[in-house]
Amino acid sequence: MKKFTLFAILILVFQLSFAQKFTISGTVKEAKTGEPIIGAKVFDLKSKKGTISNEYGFYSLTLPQDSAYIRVSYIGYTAMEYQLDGKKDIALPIELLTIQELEEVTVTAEKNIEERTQMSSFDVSIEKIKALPVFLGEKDIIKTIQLFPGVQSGSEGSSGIYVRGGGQDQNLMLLDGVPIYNATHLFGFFSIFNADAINKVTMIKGGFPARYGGRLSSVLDIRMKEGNMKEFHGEGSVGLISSKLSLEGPIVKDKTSFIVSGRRTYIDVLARPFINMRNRNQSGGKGDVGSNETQTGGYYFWDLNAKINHKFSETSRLYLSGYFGRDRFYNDGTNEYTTDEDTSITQQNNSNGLRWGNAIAALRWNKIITPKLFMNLTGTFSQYEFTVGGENQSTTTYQNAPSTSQNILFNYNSGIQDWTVKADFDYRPNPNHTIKFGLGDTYHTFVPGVNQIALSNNTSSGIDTTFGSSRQYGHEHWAYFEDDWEISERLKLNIGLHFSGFKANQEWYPSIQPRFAARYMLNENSSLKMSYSSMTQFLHLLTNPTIGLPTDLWVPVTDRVAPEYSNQFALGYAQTLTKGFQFSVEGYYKDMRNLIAYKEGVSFFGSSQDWQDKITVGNGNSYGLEVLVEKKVGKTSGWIGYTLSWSNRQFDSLNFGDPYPYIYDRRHDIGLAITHKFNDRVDIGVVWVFGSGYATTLAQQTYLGVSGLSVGANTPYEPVEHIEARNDYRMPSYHRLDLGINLHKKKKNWESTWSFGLYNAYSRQNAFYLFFEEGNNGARTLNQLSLFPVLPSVSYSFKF
Amino acid sequence: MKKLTLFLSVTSFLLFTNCTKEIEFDAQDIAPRIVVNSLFTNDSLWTANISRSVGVLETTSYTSINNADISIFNGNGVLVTTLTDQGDGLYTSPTGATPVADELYTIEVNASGYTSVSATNRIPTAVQINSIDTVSSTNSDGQTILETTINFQDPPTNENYYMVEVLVKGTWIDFFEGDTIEFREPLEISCNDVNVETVNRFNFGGFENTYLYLMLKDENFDGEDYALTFSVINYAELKDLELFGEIRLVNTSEAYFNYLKSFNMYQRASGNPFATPVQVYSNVENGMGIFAGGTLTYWDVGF
Repeated sequence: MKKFTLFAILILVFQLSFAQKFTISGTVKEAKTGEPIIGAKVFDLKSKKGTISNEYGFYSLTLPQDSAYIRVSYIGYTAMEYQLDGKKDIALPIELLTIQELEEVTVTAEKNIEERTQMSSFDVSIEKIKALPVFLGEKDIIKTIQLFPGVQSGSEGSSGIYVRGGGQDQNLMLLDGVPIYNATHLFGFFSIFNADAINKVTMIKGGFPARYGGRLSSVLDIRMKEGNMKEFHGEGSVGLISSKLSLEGPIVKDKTSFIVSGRRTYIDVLARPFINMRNRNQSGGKGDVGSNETQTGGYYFWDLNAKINHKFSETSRLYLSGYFGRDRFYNDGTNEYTTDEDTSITQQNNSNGLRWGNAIAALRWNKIITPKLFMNLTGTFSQYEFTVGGENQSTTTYQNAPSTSQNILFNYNSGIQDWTVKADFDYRPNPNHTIKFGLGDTYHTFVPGVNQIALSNNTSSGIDTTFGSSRQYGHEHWAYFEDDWEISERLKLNIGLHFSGFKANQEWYPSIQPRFAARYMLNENSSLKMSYSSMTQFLHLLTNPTIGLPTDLWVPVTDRVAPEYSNQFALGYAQTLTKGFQFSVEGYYKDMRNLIAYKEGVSFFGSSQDWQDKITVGNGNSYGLEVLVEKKVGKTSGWIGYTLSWSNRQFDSLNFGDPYPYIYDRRHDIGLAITHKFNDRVDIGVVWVFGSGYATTLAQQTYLGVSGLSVGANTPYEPVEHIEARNDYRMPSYHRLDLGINLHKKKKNWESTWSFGLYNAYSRQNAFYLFFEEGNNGARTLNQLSLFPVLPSVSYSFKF
Repeated sequence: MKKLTLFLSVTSFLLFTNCTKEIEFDAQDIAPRIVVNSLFTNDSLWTANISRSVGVLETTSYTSINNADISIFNGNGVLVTTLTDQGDGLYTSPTGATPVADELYTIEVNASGYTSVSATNRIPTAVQINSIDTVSSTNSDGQTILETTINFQDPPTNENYYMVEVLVKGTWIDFFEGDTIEFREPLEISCNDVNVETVNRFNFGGFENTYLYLMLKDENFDGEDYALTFSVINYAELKDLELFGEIRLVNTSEAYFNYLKSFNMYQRASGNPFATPVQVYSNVENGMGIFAGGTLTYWDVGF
């Protein structure tokens, strides 16, 4: 009761502190498609007050005077201006037109980097993602994000991200507000995000606003398009690895729209003729007896994004969206053979494979309750599951005896499933305060590794057993309050509180996480920023460092395993330079507690042990300096970033309790991404990355160790590989140049682009794995395995 | 179409071609080091096996180090004894020179061509044994087992570590040479005690929780009387052969315990691509191996 009273008083104070005259509110959308524009600037040139649109395009601006001259702008769009009389509140829906050319202008159309309170973050434009050259021509959001400072990519070609020394599980990846648990295809080489279906991508590495929680190291907030409300359109592409097609349009013009975007690879289709040829060669032709074997196998992935949104009115909107994706690697075969005496014939069918995938659905209702208050109610479902297994069926037919049959089945399953309900509010009482608050609950179901073995034959009942970790459940709940508060023209704060808790069997883990960010304008072009974030994470990802399968397990906190915590401090400077350049430098320090890792010697696969018995708990820290120079406008645009960082871990039961470098501790990291548009028909892209070597563990000596309780003449000894310290060796440095050129052609209702790319243009052999080997001359050497030499790519994309 | 096929073929070839190459090994120190394997107890001579490690780029096999200078010092830095080379890397102290409990000892090993190494450890206080009982019985599967219970007093305040093994002793005749050969071998023992480390557990003959030796620490019974029960599995066969055995309880140092535990973990994980790597414990400074002490108590048992 006391808290509610305090809250009501605060609202009243906000209301009375500003002698409001009138409020303008509405949504900012793209004129041609009806897509909301997130982060559009709505600015009153008379009072010099302004605001930005939220993730649904909603804005609200309360002004003190009786009239206003409003300018609405966003990068890439023609600004709109309105002269308004302030006799009463005005509902003003705004539609912006795209501009054909990005001019070299100093008039900034969005908030400059130095103006934003939010530090340690960046937005990535979809146009930039599509323009940059990438691995095998697959435009990828994650691969582009990896080019920014503070974001490590992990191993070669990987779509994992390691942000400011954090693990892969410490990134909150949101697709339209729904968490994604495994955002990769093809063992991590591609992400699941189809750029054609995406509207906006925001990455936050620190200074987390209170509305985010649940992960320690980053938030990747990806918003899907909503579908063109005006006209039917489509776009697609055909590439080396996959093809995709997106269709969007109105179901009822200006009321209901849809977007569907699908993608599938065809590696399996391309390989099939070669496999069939092999099978024909191996079978020996018709009529032969002996062995007759056929094999088929392959790999493919597909994903599908779909969304419908319906506008009940200017103040009420409903969305239904979904993402479904699957990877499958399979190897099937048949074999038929006879005995030497031809007394029996055995037929075998084998089926082995791995499959994993996500399924996500969200139902969302937006409501502008008052001109100052926006509400979003959401119900979501998110599931990730992984299965590896095989089945062998065999039947033997005898000439003089009954036939026998046998079936052997093995499966390993893991996964996670969430049901979530949440309410988020956006309240703008006056231009000095942008208040967000909300609450929610997620019901988690964890399957952290279950093995199933079944044996059966036609002569006995057989075995069917399941072992491993049992299912676990938990409720994760949260509430938050944050205020983006402009104290003065120079000083702006974002202060907030995020409360969260997790109920796991007998234990309840509550956590109060203060958040703070400040921006102080030194002059009109530069500012100092600082932030502090306390974060809590109730989910852990168990990752095996020795093998690169998608077998990572999501596990919850339990009565025995506590949440992870972090504190992060950051201090930075940002400035807008001439000709549209933006410069920022940031230093950060982050400490992490209660991190989990596999104990030494445990096998994550096929073990009957519960996962809680396989882990150990420890701590980590990371610190560093990030520099970013970016140019967003003009014919030549892009960025260059540099990171100097350290990242360490310490577990009492690993490395004999001594601290050791995190596996992805990379001292120096450089990312360069530049595009140049010659004209409407030709543009090029260049990417260059450099990183000093990651840490790895190499046994550099072996010796004979005593195996027993005494030393004597007959004592047995066993060879032991001696590891001096964990991660005490460095991989060779990594660097790579990618080049790309896009050739555009535009007709009345059809646009096409041929994209040619060269991944790893100078064919640098970057190390993926190190191993020792004895050569032909008998000498042992250290060798590296590299994955990808220079790889050309071509793709054809189209829009209609 | 032909150009596209060629392009796809070339790309597929490039995509699926792995590249390996030799690179420079930038290691701090891969020169061979002295390896010390020395487990000392209060009832035996000082014994150490000295060998050399093999650097990762070497192609030589493991070899012993002969003619090393090995000295044992007590906690006051006074020379206690020196060990003599018996051949094949085995060094022993003269008769009469045995370790004593509660004394801190340091071993120093010098050998030509190697960096000197040293290690320090002590034999823990002897454990007070309250009783040991053995009884023959038949388990639910009809197998004859020898169930043994050792009741001992765990010393308070210090952390204590224990090993238990059962050896069978006997002789056999070499029919070709006519020689009588003595043997001592550990027997498989079964134990369900919750304080026993399971890192060296295996299944044997239908018995789960089988060990060649038990390892446990006093985390859950510090300063208390403790009864450890285990069974000798092949008791029926041993009875038929009229063999003798020895039950050994070793109160070990923490280094001894950590070494054996990590060694067993290493052996279990070795060769398993799904297992995380294991660092085997060593307390030998500038070298590898283990120098560790324990207090031995043993009982003869007839099977």
